[in-house]
Amino acid sequence: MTRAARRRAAAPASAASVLLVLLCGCSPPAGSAPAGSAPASASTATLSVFAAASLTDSFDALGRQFEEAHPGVTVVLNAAGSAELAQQILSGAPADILATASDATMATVADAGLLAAPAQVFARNSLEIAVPPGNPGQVAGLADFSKAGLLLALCAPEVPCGASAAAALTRAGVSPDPDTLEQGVTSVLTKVRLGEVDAGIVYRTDVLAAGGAVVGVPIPDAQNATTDYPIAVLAGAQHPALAEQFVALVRGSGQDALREAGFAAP
Amino acid sequence: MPRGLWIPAALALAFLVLPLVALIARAPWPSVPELVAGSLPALGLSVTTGLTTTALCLLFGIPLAVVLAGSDGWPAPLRRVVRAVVTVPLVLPPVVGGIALLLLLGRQGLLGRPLEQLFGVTVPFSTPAVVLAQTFVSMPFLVLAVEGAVRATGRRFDVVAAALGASRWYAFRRVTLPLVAPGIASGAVLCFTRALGEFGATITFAGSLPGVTRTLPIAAYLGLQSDPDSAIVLALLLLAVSLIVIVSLRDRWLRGSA
Amino acid sequence: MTRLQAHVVVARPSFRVDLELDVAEGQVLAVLGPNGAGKSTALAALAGGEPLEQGFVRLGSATLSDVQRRIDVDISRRSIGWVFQDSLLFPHLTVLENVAFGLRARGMPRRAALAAAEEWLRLLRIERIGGSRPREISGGEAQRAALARALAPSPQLLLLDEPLAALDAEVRDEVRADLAVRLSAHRGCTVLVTHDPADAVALADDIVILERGRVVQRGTPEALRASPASSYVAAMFPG
Repeated sequence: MTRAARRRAAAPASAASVLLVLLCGCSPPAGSAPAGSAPASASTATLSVFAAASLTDSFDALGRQFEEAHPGVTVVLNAAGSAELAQQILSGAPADILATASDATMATVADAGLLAAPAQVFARNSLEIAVPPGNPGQVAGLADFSKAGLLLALCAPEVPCGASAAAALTRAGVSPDPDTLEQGVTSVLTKVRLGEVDAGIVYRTDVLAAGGAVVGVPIPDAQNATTDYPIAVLAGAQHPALAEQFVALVRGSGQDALREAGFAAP
Repeated sequence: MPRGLWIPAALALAFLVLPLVALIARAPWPSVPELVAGSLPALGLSVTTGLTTTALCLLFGIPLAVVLAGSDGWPAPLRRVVRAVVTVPLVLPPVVGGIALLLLLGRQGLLGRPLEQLFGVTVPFSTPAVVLAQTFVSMPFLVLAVEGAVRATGRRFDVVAAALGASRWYAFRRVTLPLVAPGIASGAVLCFTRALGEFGATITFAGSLPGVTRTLPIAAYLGLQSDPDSAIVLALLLLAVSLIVIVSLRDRWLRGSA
Repeated sequence: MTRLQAHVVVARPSFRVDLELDVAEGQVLAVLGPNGAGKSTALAALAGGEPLEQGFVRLGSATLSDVQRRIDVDISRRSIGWVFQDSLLFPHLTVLENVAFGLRARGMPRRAALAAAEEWLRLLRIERIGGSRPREISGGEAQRAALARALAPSPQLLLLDEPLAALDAEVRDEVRADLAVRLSAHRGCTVLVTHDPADAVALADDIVILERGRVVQRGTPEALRASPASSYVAAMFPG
């Protein structure tokens, strides 16, 4: 299903449609309409980029930049949880580029021999506490995550955002009492946005991207866990040369866009 | 029956069976006992919530089905709207159902907000929320199965019972219910298996916390992210429970109706 | 003293039925007419299964229906027995349980109801099939069971809607003979709807001829034969 189709399907409630796009980011659009019949000619190629959900906005922008600089090229972005993307690629999903939110998930793809060249870190992210506007739970820091009276959402430890959150909480000496362990950072953010939880731990960039819908409570550097974002061209890439150029953009002039979104330099 | 039907029929059967064969072939058999032991909490939660859901669906779904079966005299627009409402969860992506439940029963929800303010009750992220999500998606299966059965038996037996002096309640218990029992049984099986497989509405509305809201399908999905072997085993467990239910009930109660 | 006095008017878009009845205690009135005359509709109106446009139904001292007084007693409280062309035995119950149903529904304890039902099976000579399910018995047996079921609660008003029409000729004669015995023992009023003059002659004390929803003639078979009021009556009772 394409993103546009997904959006149409969810049209009735605007809140619902936003959520849908966030929550349903699990189907690979790469296999669908535009990418399916890409001719070999580089002038009308479709570049399939699998990127961690937190990269959605910045990679959307970079994709458009790339398309302008390479007429005839279409960049199709499949944004989802890193672990899920890795799983899709391991199962044979056709993609040119993979950018994840953790070295660990990239390593599973590298170990399977599916990378064309070693991955390179192009950005760093750090964690932030997201709370609904008005901070109804009066959450001030990681210590509040042990409070049984608050409704708290974390990522499951199996996915990168959960692993980072667990590391940060350990560093802060907090044993958390979460009410749900979500399968991706977007689900955590959704629950904060809807005001269904008092706080969740997400990436700094997610808070920025959400605009005013959620409010960030910073985590001190001493407690915070930073994650590396590696990017790599895949061994099975249809357009390896174009893919190399896209990676170069991300690591070069594209850094401005990433900075703007809240990512730190590698 | 034309012989030509055998070919597409065989293909259809193969299409349904082969994924299961693949699942069984890929199962990490040596580590299965250990992985099964690790997923017992999810299994227990799935079975308990599935059974509770089925009980709720029976309690509320049978009356709804009987009312719907007798709705032919209603104004057509009303009848159509009610019918559409009953079918909506069948066509709605479960995730959307989960969002709808959040918007209704969440802390900021239509009913959820007064519930929390007046009684301090929050519904999401609890085991009851799992049951509600499952009930939302599986109720139509029961209602449609039972309504079909009630319509098939017709109203004539109701008239006969009434002429024999049976009150409506007596006729309902002693005639209608026993006559539609096969429909109720197959509806309950559909309902339970649907509840067992429920994923989207549950994870959206109830979240995912081991032992509280993380049912087998959610555990399987999460397992896929980090440990595909555990996901395969969880999927096999789900399959086993569903098969046990379907096979045992089909043989015992559903013979003749199927 | 049970006496049925009724005037039922049923209006449907396609036809209209207007029938006046007066049946004394222990008497059997046959409503005879061709298919589509409105006989079954009139019977259903007596039972309370068909809304009246006009008229009333009185049984003994009780008013069961009265359009003007807005009285409409529920079917289940009319003390009727209703037998149809198909036996309509409850398929999930045994024959014995079927016959006991009306007694159980009226509150009789299970053991007593089954004992009484057993007796009714004997009276209709089908005691062998008490433990059978309806699908295991013949059409004649099923119709006898349906009669037993309707008679068991001792209804004040017995309504028979073509009770023999679905049976083979030979079986029909046997069941008709047994039915005649049972009707002579029945102390309530009976209304028999049929298209077969043989039924009317064998079972009824009095006959009403209904054509296109209207009464054409009433009287004993002899009177009808003597001066038929329509070609239909003449054909049914050839002189």
